[in-house]
Amino acid sequence: MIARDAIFKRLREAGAEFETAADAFESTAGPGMSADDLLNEFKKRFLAVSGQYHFASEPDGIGPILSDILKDMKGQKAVAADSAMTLYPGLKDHLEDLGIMVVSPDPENARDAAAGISASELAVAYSGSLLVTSRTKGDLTASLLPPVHIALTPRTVLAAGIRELLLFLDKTGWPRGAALITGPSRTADIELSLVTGVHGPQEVHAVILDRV
Amino acid sequence: MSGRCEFDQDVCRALDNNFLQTALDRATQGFKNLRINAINDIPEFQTLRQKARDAKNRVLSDLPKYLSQLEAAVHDRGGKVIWAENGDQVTEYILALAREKGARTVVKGKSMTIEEIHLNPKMEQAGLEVFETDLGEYIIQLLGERPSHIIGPAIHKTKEEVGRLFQERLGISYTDIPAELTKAVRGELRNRFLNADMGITGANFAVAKTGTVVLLENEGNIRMSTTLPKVHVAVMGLEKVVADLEDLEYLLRVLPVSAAGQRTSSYVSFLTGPGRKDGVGPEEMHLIIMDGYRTKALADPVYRQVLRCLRCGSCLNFCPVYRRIGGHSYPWVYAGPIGIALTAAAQGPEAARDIASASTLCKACGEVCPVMIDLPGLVLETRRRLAQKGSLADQGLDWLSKGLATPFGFDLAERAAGLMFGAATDNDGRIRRGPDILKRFGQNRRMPEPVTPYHRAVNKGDDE
Repeated sequence: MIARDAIFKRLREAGAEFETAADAFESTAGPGMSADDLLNEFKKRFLAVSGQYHFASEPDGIGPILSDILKDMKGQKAVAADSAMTLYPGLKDHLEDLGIMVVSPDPENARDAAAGISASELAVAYSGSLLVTSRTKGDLTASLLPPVHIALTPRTVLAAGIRELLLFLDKTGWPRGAALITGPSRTADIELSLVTGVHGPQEVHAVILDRV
Repeated sequence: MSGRCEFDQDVCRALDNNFLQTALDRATQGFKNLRINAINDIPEFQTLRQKARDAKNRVLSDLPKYLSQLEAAVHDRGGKVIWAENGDQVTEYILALAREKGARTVVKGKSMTIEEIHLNPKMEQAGLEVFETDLGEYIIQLLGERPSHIIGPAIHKTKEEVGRLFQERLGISYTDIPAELTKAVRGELRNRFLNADMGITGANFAVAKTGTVVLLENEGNIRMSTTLPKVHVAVMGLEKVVADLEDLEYLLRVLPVSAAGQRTSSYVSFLTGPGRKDGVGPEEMHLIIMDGYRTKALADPVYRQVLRCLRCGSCLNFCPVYRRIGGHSYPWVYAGPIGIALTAAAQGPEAARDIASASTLCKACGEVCPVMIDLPGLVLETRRRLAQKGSLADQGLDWLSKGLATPFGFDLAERAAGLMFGAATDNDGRIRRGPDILKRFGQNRRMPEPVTPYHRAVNKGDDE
């Protein structure tokens, strides 16, 4: 408390005043975008950050998309978040049919899994981003530890911009942990060469579900 | 050896280092292009800059209010707030916490605030194993160097150097392929993340209203460091508080665009209080709010605007001087134009004497700053304050400028310069003879040979 009091005393004594005088502001990403605008903008931005985009016009469409992404993973492990199993109740059986073992999403199990499947709580069109949070079991690990992340994303969760994202987090009471994910994990730390899959996934797949 | 000589030598070493020149060119030009392309695609960017500036001005105008709000909000969510006057108090707290928890291994996210206080060596002395987990920081930690760029700490290293380093220290076979080197670090650090007792990060923003700590990154190492260990410690400068969500939006939109031309970084973590479930999330969250130089800077009506800085690194990329001399020529952890301003604000203008002269005043830094810090103005202010101290050299310049203002004096000076030049300079154009003040000015500069002035050459017949 000694430090706090001394710091606050100096802050008051500093008597700092700054002006705030910005021009009126209109965001290009904001309300007023149609459902098609939102989807098109999301797709454009998501592809621009090396995301892999899939669209399932019918609920049955999820299966073939997953089979295609996971076709070379027979005999390996995958992590499925609860949220993904809610969106696609056949997920566990489907993975097992592909010869993939489904493990519980705690970090010790997820550490050497080949793929992680989560849902997206929200998707941001402006930046092509996907939101996962600590609210549902497994979303944070499925989206971080395995080299391949698949996010089942209902079309209804598409939002325009960062403002809508923050309002959503606020309205839903700020989960302990939330991660906005924009493309694969990346670095340019060695001679500015872009490398993906540093600590997080090398591939991020958004599977848009037109109807749930 | 005086600071001046060290500075000149650092600069000469940097200029003579061909690899460094190429690396700096490649990195800064790369960052510049990414930023320019991204901004061309965001028509409202200039208004966003104003909004971001206002967002920072709002909290800096009433820090006691917003910091109290932040403290209360963090407590409400079960987190702990610790106030620290300086780096020593931060270190003391972290070491005591590590002892209390029986912690042995620490994973760290990249943080310029923590770079300011040299925490790592002190943790290591206390017997903790500390792993920097950002790839660039990991490289320079192995080398025992300091970062040379805010967002590209190891841009001054070649891939071959990194290859040999990893061969020696990680025991992998030699490769200079960046993807392979990155993969080796992924493998090396994966276990560290899972077994670490404590994760230590900085904080890009902390929202007063909600108590949320916001962290931006591209690799995923910060997500790991803040969710896998049981204890998360975030260290922030007290200026990082943000009033509300509206302000946060503007700041979140200008920072990654300015840093690397991204509409948002690969990962943005929003962390609100502790909570561990299914092995994920920390049991404890400690937010250390540090002063250091910040209240001192705030009390200075001119320098206080440095507290708006978001650490995007954009002013480095656009600075023609940084792009030649690199980060290690600057005296403190901060390089480039913001490095000059922060050093002067934190340690006084004297500490920035040499680097304050290392600016062409082209003003590009001020144009690109996402929070509109008047960087060229602060460089000039630093020079002004140093000049006011009135050195002999300054008085001499004063006398000289008066003399040169008359036609007779100017003509005389021109003729004198021609004569003296030959006497004072060596063949390489550097001044090595004559009065000290001249040598000091000229020994690291190549002087152009004086030519006969046009008017005198043309009027030669009339003149003589």
